[in-house]
Amino acid sequence: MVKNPFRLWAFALVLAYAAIALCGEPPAKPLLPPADSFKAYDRPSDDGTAIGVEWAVVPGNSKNITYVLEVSTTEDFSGEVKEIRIPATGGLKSKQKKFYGSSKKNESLHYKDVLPADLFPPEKRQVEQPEENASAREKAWYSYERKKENRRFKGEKRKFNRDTDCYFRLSATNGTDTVFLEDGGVRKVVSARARANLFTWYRCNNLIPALIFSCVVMGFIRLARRNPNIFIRRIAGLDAGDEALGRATEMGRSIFFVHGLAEIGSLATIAAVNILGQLCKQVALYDSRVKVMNSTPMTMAVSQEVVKQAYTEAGRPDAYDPDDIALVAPDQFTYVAAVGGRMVRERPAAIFMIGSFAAESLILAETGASTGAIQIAGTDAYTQVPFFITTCDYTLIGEELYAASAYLSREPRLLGSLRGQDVGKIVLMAALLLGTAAVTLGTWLVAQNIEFGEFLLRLRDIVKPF
Amino acid sequence: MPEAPLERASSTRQIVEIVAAVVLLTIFLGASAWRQSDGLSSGTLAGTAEALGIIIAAGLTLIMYSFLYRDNPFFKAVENLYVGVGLGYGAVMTWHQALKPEVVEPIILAPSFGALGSALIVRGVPILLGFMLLTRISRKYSWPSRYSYAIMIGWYAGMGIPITIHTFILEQVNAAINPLFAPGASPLATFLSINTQIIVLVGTVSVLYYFFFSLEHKGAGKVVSRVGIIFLMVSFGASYGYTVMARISLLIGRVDFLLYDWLQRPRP
Repeated sequence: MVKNPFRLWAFALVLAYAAIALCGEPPAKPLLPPADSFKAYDRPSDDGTAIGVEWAVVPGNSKNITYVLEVSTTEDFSGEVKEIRIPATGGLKSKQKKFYGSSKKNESLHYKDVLPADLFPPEKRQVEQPEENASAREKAWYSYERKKENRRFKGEKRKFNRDTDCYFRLSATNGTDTVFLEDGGVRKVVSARARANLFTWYRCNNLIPALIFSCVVMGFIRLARRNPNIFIRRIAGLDAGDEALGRATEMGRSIFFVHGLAEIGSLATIAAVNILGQLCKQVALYDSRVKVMNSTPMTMAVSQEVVKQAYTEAGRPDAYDPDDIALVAPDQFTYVAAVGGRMVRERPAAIFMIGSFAAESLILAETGASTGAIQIAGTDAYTQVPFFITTCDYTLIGEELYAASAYLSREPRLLGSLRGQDVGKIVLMAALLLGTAAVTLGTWLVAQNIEFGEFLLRLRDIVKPF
Repeated sequence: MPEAPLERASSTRQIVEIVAAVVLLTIFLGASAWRQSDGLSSGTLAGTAEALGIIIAAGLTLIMYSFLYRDNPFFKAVENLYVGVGLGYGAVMTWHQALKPEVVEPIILAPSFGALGSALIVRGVPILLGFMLLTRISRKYSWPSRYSYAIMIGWYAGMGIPITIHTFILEQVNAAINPLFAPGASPLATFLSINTQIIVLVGTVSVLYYFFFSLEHKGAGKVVSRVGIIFLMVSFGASYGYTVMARISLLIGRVDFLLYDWLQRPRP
């Protein structure tokens, strides 16, 4: 009779575990892909820094198998050899859509980017740092030498990539057993050299629309030159411009034109400058006065040119005063303080706040509203539009700002651009509706195991940004 | 054309405002002397300087807020100080970030002719364009500056087009294209998914149509345009609330400074 059955059960349990440990399945043997699937090549669409290495996925390999990719700069691997380890369940080529697209066959290939100059980096020279109390010339020398060394180092890396063939061998291991990929009884070696590519293929979805829309816009510009009476729908905020101008003339007060903070390169600022030119033509005719508030010297200089041109075209070059176009302040809230102060002191009859605005929009618009001026705002900064809508009399929302300059000037180039943009919007609407339909159908077909569904789903990658 | 004269405040109001200003100034100085007495009488330069710094910052903050009442000479003074400091700061930043490292050190302090040559190869054209901008000082000979402006505007526009296509077209279209439903999902999830995706589609298409300028918005087009403006207003409302919350945090920061740094109130 057993005195303590618990001890017996515990002993049996330990025996069972020991039996499983001794007689259980050994770790899975690593399997290798077909030798002809192991390839190395220059990675496309890059600056010559990487080599791509691929081999076929072997379905039998479990997660405890690791591929070992050996890299050398000599064909017989006699020199320095680097090892890169890739788990057998990871590193698929299908993850590299940016460089290799979304082809279905990429799902059955392992892939690794190899950066030769990072694996075998050239020697970096140390530049001696000057002492704390060194002269300005010595510090300049150090700065120059350091930059020169950095340039040399980068150049050496580029040269290494350009001039050096890299050789690759593949093996697979489960920790105890290692098998080597062989071809005809000898270890298979593949080689490649990284090259800088002239063309970035993954940006095609950016280039092609740009080219197509450029052609469309140029076509419409030609049409607009032949017939400048292209229809543009009425933009309410712009009709109010005449009202504001009349008010300023009647009251004998000036008009403020506030550009916002962006540089002249900003699309909103370019559109604002166009509107300013058209406004100034009328200001010159009415013998009123416009004061332009700039935050950058570039915007100020361009505004001066545009206003001067407008006064000249209106036949009133004598009325142009360059001091009316001022650089108020370069910093955001300094600009707000200065423009706000001038608004309160000079009490303009009308304020145009057109351009690119940020956190200063509400402060400016509130201050302008407190002066009783008629306010017309326009910006493409969508986070600031709500503030203008609540505080200004009229607001040009987003693209209305770009349309405004065409609407006012009837300039064929602007009219043609606007019509081209409208065509672009039709294309976008169609892409959205058709894209959603295709993706929905594709998802359903994939669920029904119909292969065509995957093709439909891959269509979405056409608009994938990289 | 001479501008119309501005209205001036009545003399009674001016007297009241002057008295109020004197009272407020006295209160401010008294409160500062009382609450910052430890720092002012610390006997160390650092302690006194810190206390004075806090008093000046608090004074400038309160004067800036005085604009909420109306424009006043204190505000004008601080505004000019602010503009001056801003310009000075900008000048120093331009010197340290652009002129010194990019022009003075590599060219004027070039350690050798080789270094000067390599610096000029990279920086020669930009520096020349910069000098051409300076010709605007002369009204007669300002024409070279236009070449600099033309290059810069062209450069900006060229750089901007691919970024705009990437950010405002590809990313948006890619995010908006989604299946209406996921096969195998529960009826409630399918219903919600279809509704969400249809709202996204209707909203995007109608807003795009609102910004369509080649057609008059009438008939069915007017309805679509109306739907678009409703979507826009809903998004603007959300954006408004979100931004106001962020601005409130700025106010909290200033009030925090006045209460705990200037008035030395114990922090909760």
